[in-house]
Amino acid sequence: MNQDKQTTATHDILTVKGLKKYFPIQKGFFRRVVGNTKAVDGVDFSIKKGETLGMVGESGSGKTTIGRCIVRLYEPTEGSIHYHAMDEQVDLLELNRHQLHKMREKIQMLFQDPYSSLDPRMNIGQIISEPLAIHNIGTKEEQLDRARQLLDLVGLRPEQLNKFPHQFSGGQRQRIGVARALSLNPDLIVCDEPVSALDVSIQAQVLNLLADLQKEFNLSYLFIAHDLSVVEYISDRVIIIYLGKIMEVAKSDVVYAYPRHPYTEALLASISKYEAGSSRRFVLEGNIPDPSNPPPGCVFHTRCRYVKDICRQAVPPLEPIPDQPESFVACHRYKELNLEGYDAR
Amino acid sequence: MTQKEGLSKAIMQSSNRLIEVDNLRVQFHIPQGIVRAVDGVSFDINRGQSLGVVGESGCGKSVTALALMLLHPQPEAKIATGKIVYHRQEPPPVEITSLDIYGKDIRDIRGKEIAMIFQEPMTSLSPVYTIGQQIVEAIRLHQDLDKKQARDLATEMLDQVKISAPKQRVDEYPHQLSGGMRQRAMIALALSCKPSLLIADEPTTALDVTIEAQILALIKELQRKFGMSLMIITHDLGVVGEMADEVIVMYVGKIVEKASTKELFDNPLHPYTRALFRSLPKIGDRQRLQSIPGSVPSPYQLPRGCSFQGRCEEMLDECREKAPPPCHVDGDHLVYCWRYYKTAESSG
Repeated sequence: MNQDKQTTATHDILTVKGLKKYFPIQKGFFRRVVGNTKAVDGVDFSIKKGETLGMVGESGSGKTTIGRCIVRLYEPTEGSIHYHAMDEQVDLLELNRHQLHKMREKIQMLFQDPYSSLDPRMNIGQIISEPLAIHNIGTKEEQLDRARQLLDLVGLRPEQLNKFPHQFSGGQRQRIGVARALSLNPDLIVCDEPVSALDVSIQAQVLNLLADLQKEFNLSYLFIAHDLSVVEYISDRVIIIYLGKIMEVAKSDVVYAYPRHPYTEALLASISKYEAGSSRRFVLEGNIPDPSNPPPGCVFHTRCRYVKDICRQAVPPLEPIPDQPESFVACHRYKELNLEGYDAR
Repeated sequence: MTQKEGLSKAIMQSSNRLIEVDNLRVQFHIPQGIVRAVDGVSFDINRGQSLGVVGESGCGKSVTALALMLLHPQPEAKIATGKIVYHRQEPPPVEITSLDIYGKDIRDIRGKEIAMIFQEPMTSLSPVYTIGQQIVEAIRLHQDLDKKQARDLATEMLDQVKISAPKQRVDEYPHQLSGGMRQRAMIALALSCKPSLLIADEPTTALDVTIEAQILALIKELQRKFGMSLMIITHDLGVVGEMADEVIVMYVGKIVEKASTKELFDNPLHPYTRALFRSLPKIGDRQRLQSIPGSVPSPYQLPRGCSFQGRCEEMLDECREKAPPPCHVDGDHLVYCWRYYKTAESSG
């Protein structure tokens, strides 16, 4: 590992500004574009070195699209994504193919489904060393050595190199996914729902592994998930996202105790309590609106308990919260509302 | 609980019983060998009661539920031993296990008296029929209604599950509905014949938390309204805590613990149950998670003795040799673990 990485003070490693991703809706014989699905609609945030940034939202909120834009699996419609290397910064969206190829060493992705994200015809050694082969790092022997080392790191036996994905359980496969993501010594790993396909007992193993690796290699994670308790556990800061827009950003211990956005409050109220005879405090009515036709004004106003006229008309800006460092909220009424946090007891 | 209360409860239970499952074993005969998916499971469900079944994938919870309606996969799965008795409102009780799986008797029970909802409503509803057609089919199969009446009932059911504009929705196809709506439509379909038992197999696993809260609240409300029993199968202890009166915890085909929900949450006994609770991330507590080491044993090579042995922190010598016998702690709290058996024995 690069030694001086450890010594540099925490700085932003990735800055996302004004990110938009619209998917065109095509109709008719000429595939005319009749509208856009606004999956991500103007999102700004940054990730610090060695930090875990959680990203929470319902399905259809655009969280996965953001992750995929960062690794450029999707071409964003608008905006910039700056990656800060040692002392220079590059806009990932302006790189040509060759430059992007080099950049990919630094930003890796971990997928949700460990059953479909590993090629069933490749053995584990090939899967883990494939990134090294693509980037022409080392000889074949060195690549396999590295794969053995990585297997050991993620808690699998190095002799399992010649086995195939189907011979492993879900949790083990997710470990293999982690090993592959680590093979190029990345700075940032975009984790897209990495534990939601796993059983509870295995989920804890993988979460602990991710936490250990972060400490060891000073990794940054963008941790996308819908399970609030998992996100709270692993994240330093949390972004709450709804219909392609950021609703709230805050330190994770703060946001759970003192939510400032009504949507955050509603999400917290819907967490199950792990108690006998418990019931949820209130239930958010309705569904997330159609992203091709988002409501005017605040996108959350159709489901908000505290809606007022202004919410239907004006889009609330994402403002910094006074006296609360690194916290932002996009709500017209956040100052007057006294929202209820998660009652941990 | 005082002795008197306990006694009256016991009397009430015996007349209130809806389903009795005794020593059920379901085996899969496949080329790789015999898999004991359900291995000697016994439990009862009372009228109006909610039973939660918790366990990880592959623990046999879904197969147990399917077997209640003789829907276990054919031809590979067989009910090897055991008895499932279904008590209708009027006697005599029906012994489900003795029925022909393709026969008329079981078809009269399936969907009418015992109904089921599944995890993924997109795959369990037919994509080529409208919601209305599918509900009408179920209604007319079991009830003597003409098309018009059945359609009206279908629309009413959609209204009951709080689908907005039911008169329009009844003519829509599943793909036109959102995930939460589809699950509502499934519930409407399942409840259209007013079953006495609803089996919900991971009903909210594929849904968002906010929608999950809606669906669980709806199931609870309808359960009360229709006075039916509920068997809810899930891997999520939170869902069980909310929905169930009694819980069974399963691990590789066996029940490891059975207790009232309150008792199980306040005082989990089996090392597996306790480990499950410990491995959950809790909000406000950022201590390192205590994960369960290892993974579920392969169903082809189950260890002798207790199946949790390799992963258990409190293993005894007996655990390797023999399957643990049932051990009653505090009356209704049942645990299959040598450790408790030994303490109970030594204290007399």
